[in-house]
Amino acid sequence: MVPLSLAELATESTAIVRARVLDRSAAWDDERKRIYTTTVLEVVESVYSAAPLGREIRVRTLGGEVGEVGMKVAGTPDLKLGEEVLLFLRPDGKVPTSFAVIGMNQGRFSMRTDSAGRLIATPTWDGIAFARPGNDGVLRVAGHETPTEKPYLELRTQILALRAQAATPAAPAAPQAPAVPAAPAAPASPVAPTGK
Amino acid sequence: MLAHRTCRARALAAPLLTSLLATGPAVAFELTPVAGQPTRWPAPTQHYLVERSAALPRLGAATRAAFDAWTAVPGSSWTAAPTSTAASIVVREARPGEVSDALAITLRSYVVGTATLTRAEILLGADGVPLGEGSGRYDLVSVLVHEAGHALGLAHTCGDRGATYPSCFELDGLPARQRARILGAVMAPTIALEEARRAPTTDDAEGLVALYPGTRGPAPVLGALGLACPDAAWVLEVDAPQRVELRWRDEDGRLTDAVVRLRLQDRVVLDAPRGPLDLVVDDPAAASRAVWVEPSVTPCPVDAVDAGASVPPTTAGEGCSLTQTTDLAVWVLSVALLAWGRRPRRST
Repeated sequence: MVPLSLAELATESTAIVRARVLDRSAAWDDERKRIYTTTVLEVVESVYSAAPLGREIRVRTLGGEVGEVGMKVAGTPDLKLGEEVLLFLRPDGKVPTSFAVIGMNQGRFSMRTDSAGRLIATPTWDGIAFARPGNDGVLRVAGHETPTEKPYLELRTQILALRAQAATPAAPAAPQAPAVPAAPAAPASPVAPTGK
Repeated sequence: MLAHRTCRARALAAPLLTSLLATGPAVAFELTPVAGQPTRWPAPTQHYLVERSAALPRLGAATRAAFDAWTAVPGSSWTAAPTSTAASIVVREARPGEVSDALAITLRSYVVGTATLTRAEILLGADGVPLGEGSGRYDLVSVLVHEAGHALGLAHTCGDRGATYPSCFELDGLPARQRARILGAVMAPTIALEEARRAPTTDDAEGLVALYPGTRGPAPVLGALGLACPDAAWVLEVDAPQRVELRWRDEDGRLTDAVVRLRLQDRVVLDAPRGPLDLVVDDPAAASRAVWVEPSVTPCPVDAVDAGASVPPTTAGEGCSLTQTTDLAVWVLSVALLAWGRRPRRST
């Protein structure tokens, strides 16, 4: 696995959503060689989207179970019914109506509420084998330079800033201008849906 | 340096202490359960098939090396398929768009309900990721050993925070040896550019044993030749009809590819051991007659013995010491290795 930084996740995504899993189903592909699971999610909040999103989206992942046959790939997101996640998405290459998660499990954050009532986003590393380009040859544990658990609102602000930064062309004539536009105001409630 | 004199040693075995450690080191391996059952093959004797790859011309040889490394676990056998239809594991270069963001993936097919594996595919080659050997590349054999571990049913040695096994983020709080087991295993979730991890560690092998009880797992390590006498040579003789292996470990404690296999009445002189050395035997019950070890130089100062190791009894002022490293094996038998005296030669 090639580790992706938060900036890479943010800028390579065509959609970044906080969403809740409503349904999931698995089926063989047209060639009957692979099983894919299609997960239907309710968009709780669209953090970013290059195109308008519906209230529900579909995410397609390799693996699943059909009848007596199961397929599994280490590192592939396993979205569970009812769970809330933050997903970094791009269009699925084969099914235009579906998304794929960027970087396998790297593009999935689990959401939980801490004791203070804050929404916390936790990166998912399960099954991911990172190949860290260690110029010094030192083995590094995955995650030291990649996203870490943090309050969702803070992460959201960071994502939007990274998106804005990537979208802003180099502007040497305006040294006083802020490099990063002000992040939008955080929602009053950490779980307030702002999906569109 | 080759020794010029031989300590008159009656070594190793007699009477080898067989005090099995009550509690071995904690394991790090993880299985891949589906609905509570580990995914595994009906038997640890499967065939693999390698498809030719223009981008990876050494894929065949690398795959063979990788599966041979797992076959070193006694009782398991992962061999090249005699025919394509006999293969249950396929190794090939990924087709465009098939693998994204990964060096390689392993897709496992299993029977729902029993989690019995029916097929596995190892797909190599994310776009632009250099696989191969040498400078600026991810070591192909190491990647294949790791993916083969997945194909056999093993998971990573650490994973998500809150999962049943240690989080990769929380290793700092673990005892150093447990941390070393997690990060040193070929099933550790990370590998660095140019890093080679080509041989399953004891922990990896334990994982295979847990999956396939028919395997005997990592053969019991009778003891390890420490570097008590770095300039000394050691003489070993096999005195029982069973296989004996000498396996070197690197400075991180991982087994290396360097293995010397001995049979009955073989005799070997180890000139200035290159590193910690395991004595591995097939049958621990017969181990007390298996190998004679003679430090072949004298004197060797006792204070050269690793302070952290158990120091076997020595006769003051003479002889080298054979140290044991009890953290390296599943069953580590305490050894009383140096009972000095003469014994007849078997062969030279």
